[in-house]
Amino acid sequence: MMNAFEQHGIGHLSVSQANLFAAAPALYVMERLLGHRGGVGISAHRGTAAEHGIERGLFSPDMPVSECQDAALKEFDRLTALCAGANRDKEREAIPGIVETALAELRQYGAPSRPEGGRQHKIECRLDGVPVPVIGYLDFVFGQSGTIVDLKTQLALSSKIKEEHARQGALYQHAHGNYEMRFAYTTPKKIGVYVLENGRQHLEALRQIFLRMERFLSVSKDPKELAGIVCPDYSSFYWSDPATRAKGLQVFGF
Amino acid sequence: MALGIGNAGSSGSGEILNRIEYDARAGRFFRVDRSQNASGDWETNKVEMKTPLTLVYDIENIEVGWVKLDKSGVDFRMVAIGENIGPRPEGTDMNGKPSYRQGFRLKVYSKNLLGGVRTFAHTAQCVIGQMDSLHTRFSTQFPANQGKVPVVTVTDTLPIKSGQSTNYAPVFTIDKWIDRPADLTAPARAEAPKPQAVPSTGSGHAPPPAPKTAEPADMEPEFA
Repeated sequence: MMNAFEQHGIGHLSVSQANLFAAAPALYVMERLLGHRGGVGISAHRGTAAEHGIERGLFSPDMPVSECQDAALKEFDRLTALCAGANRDKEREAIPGIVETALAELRQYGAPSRPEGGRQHKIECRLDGVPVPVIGYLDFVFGQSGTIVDLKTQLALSSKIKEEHARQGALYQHAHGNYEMRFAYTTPKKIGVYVLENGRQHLEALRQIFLRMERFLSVSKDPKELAGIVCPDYSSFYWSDPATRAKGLQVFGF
Repeated sequence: MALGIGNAGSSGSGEILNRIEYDARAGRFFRVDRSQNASGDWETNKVEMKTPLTLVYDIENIEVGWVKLDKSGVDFRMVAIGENIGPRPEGTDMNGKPSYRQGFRLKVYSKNLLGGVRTFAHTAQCVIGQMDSLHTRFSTQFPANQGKVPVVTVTDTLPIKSGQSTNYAPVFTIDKWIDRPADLTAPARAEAPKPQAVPSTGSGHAPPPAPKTAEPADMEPEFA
């Protein structure tokens, strides 16, 4: 007997799915169930590119920072080759500072463990009552100190771990036994490395989201019917990309 | 506010009360009457109670925890809402599944329909979800209705598809608030339950950690 996730072709779950469902269920239905993916924002490409440079610098501790910065900028240019946006230059300008700031802090952690095949460490977990596995990818695992670090690049520094990131960290911690979970929020000039608190509660919150997701999906096998019972909130930053909003108008009719 | 079903504890209140039952597969409520026959044997008689079904629900004193309901018997390991329910008690049934399931239990009252106070407990996810929603509405209205109890009507049932089967979740509505009936006594409490705080996530910059002497993989996992 198929569960509601499998009926919708969902073989595994992720924290990003949970966070999207919790924050913007209409966008979840549009992107994940109806398959109308919105564009990846330039700020997301900034994060990916900066991580690329920081990763080079952590796995090769003697690599000059300037080389890491160049690698990050090349990656940004590759990813955004077909992206037009008013903030493209601003995002690109932030990258060298983010790389430098992050490396100054994280190189003190030593060399991270090398992932087996691939860029990141893949984890797979089972949560009580959730019938399909939950998958995630860890950025950096520092075995010597028993620390997992997830990198988050920003233009303005967060003063604490965001709720949606706490759920992500709780899952990573659940998969990695006695490791400490940290988030490194990095801006061009500052870095805040915060230790995850109350992992058990945030994991339970994640589990509750998945349970609610399953209940929602069980209402109907038809994604269009599900689209008919949720409402897009275009004021949310999830809908900030114009192409995504346009697709929303097409799908939801308003 | 969530029922907080998810974490563990001790047994609940010691009273033994008759109960009402909800059949989620059929969407029907029953009053379960127990009586002794001429031979002294106890018999169970189920009397259906049709919707709309209006009872007083003692949501203020709802309990959450672990429930075992099988042929070997009934066992409730309950705590007051907001307390830690602890890990799942050990034990499996004939099919190898855990004997204990998370659930809730509360008292309901009606002199006419129930002859007084009974318990209502359930472990089905669809019912827990609806009770969770009711509890949230209760929590919102309770500050303005201290010392009173809600009169709740089950107006309808909501079909919830799960695979090939359909369960029916009861739809609860708070109609009004009344003074607590004398028969529906509240358990003694040292202080009013405190609202649950949203768990913090983590703040304050942490310096780079020192290397550990033992590999973390050899230690007991923090999250079992």
